[in-house]
Amino acid sequence: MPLPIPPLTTEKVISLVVGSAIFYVILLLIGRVTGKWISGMTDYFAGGREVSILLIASVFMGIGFAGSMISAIPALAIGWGFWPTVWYFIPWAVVLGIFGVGVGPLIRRTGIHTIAEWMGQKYGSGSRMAASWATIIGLLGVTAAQYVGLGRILQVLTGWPYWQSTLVAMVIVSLYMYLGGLWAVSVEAFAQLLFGVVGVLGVIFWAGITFGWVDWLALNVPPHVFAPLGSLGTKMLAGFTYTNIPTWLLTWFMLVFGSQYYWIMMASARSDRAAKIGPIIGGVGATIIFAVWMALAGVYAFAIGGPPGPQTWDVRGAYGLLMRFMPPGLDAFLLLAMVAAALTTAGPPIIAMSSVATRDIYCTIKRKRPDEALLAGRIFTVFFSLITWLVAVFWVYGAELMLALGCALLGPLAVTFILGIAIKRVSPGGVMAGIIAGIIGVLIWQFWPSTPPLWVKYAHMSWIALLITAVVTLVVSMFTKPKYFALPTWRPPKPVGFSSTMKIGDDVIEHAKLIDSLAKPVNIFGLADRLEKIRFRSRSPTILEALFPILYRRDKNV
Amino acid sequence: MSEKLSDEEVKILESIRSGRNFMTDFVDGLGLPPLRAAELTEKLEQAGYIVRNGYTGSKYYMFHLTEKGLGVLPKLTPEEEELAKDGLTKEDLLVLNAIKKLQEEKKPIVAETVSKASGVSTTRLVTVVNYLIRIGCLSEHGMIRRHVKITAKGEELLNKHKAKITSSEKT
Repeated sequence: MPLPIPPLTTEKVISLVVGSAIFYVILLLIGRVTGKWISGMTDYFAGGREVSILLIASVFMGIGFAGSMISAIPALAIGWGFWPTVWYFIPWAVVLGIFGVGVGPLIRRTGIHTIAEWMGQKYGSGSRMAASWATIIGLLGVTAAQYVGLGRILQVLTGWPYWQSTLVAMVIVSLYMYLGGLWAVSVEAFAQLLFGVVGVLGVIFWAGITFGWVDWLALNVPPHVFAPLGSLGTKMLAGFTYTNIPTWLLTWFMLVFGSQYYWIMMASARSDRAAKIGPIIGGVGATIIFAVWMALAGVYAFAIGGPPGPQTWDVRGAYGLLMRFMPPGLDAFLLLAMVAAALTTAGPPIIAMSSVATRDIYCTIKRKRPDEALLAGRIFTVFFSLITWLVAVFWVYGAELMLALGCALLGPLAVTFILGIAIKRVSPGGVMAGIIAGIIGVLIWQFWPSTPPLWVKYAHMSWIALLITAVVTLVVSMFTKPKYFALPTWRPPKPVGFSSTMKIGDDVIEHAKLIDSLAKPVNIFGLADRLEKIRFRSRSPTILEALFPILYRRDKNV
Repeated sequence: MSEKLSDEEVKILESIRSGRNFMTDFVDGLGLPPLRAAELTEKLEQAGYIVRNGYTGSKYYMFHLTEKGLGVLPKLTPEEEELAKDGLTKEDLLVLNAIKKLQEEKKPIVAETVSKASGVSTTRLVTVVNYLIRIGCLSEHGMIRRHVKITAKGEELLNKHKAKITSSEKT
């Protein structure tokens, strides 16, 4: 039987306001301290490239513990059930681990700060500009979604319009990021997580003690909530629409590999070890601490407040509903945890957008060296913080639209990045065409007038992004000029040791072996020889060459 | 026949000779914008001065000198040659010495203090410290900021080459 929602008393308001004030003062102090560590662009945008495992893990846990997640995860647990919600989150942790181990060291070695810079570094300025704009539009949506998530919870809790309740949060975020850049974001993430962990676990313990534990929950929610496959049933196991594990895996892959705020953390890592281990700890920690407990909070909200709906409570404001029932003091702490969740996730994308706008757009147009643009970087940071808040507050539909667009725009970047690092034949023209075709294809698929939408009826946008981007990139690469090292005439010169006086290191010897191996095809059952005959019939590269580049790494003249 | 190389190109070759052979070493260590560094390395590789460790994955961002690249670099002085035998440069020695001093004075050993004590900019220091950690002369710790400590190997090399610091400081 749902309980009546308690009124908002003066005592409760004082508790919430005082708690928030203390929290914001702590954040500003951290911003002030970290501001003293900044002496240049690399310090501001990449934490002087000395960010530790602890801070990287904290930032990633913070991203998992997002403002959008504290709103969405409880809602999914109510709609899909507890276990499907946990399964929705696990692929994110898996992808994050793969990202750290697989490409973390690579990103560190490139010397870049942004994914757009990587595109420019390897494939020229056209790809860089396309990637820059895709990143900024995408991240605007991701960041605005944090304010929307926080606003919904505060609205259920206080009944205040959320432009009022999120305004202070936005000002504080802008201030501490202006001062400390990525250093502030990383250290704040660690501090905010402490609030988050205590708040998220605390609410479950409070609910358990006050109302009852899992047995009580099972009696007060519909059976699908604790069923292994929830309300999704076996369709959760495979498929192309959104409600299945393969699609979640692919979507997370695109969001992580194509997103600047994951990149910038890798670029800031102090060592390869930090770049590899930080994401693993962050992903596993966020799943165990946040996903499981946030899903349970949704189930408690359902059991306590009854079914959500227009006449009862907003399904995305489950934590706001729980706070209404909590005693003063405890509610303030949970509120801080919620605000912390929004801020931990708003910080990295704002820094990410700012780094792209400063380094990839401002420095390119103004022809400035990145070192000369620290002030511009700080101003862009405040600008993006303000813009995302304005979008979130005055154009909620726009924020949700941009979040959807964001995921669509980041997909083609992720796919071209993977193709670019794995296949040397991928050409600058192929990458540029792949990104543009991928973005256009996804947008058409997403907004095609159809009821239900194509992505609900047939396949999620992630699959379309993967298919169109991969096919266009590979096909266009076959017919356009590749980089010099993929030309048949290219012969890599032989290396020597570091100097005539130094010993030749193992890596140099390995390299020499590698260069030698370039001359030898992988010749399984003589397949390479047969394919090579086909290949050299025409001067243009064949489709097989593009699809199986490893078999074709032999150049005719070598 | 070698064409005339620009200062930036020679600096890249010298960086590789000294063991700082990742793309990030050219960006942070030499202060080159990432795109400029990419452009120069492509040019140098096509001209046969350097070669990449490979063309896929992270091998793409690691470089080695070729005979031609080594040939255009100015010869090392006997002092530099001795340091090079132990994989060090004068700058590494200055940083090691600064860290040792800070350690003795029990001062915090973070980027700003080491930069001030050694005269190496904080951006460039990233490359030097990463390299010294890689070859085992420094160890790192610190939950938030990176603190470094000189290792037994670092101390041994510092003592061995200490005389060179005085001469380089004098000049």
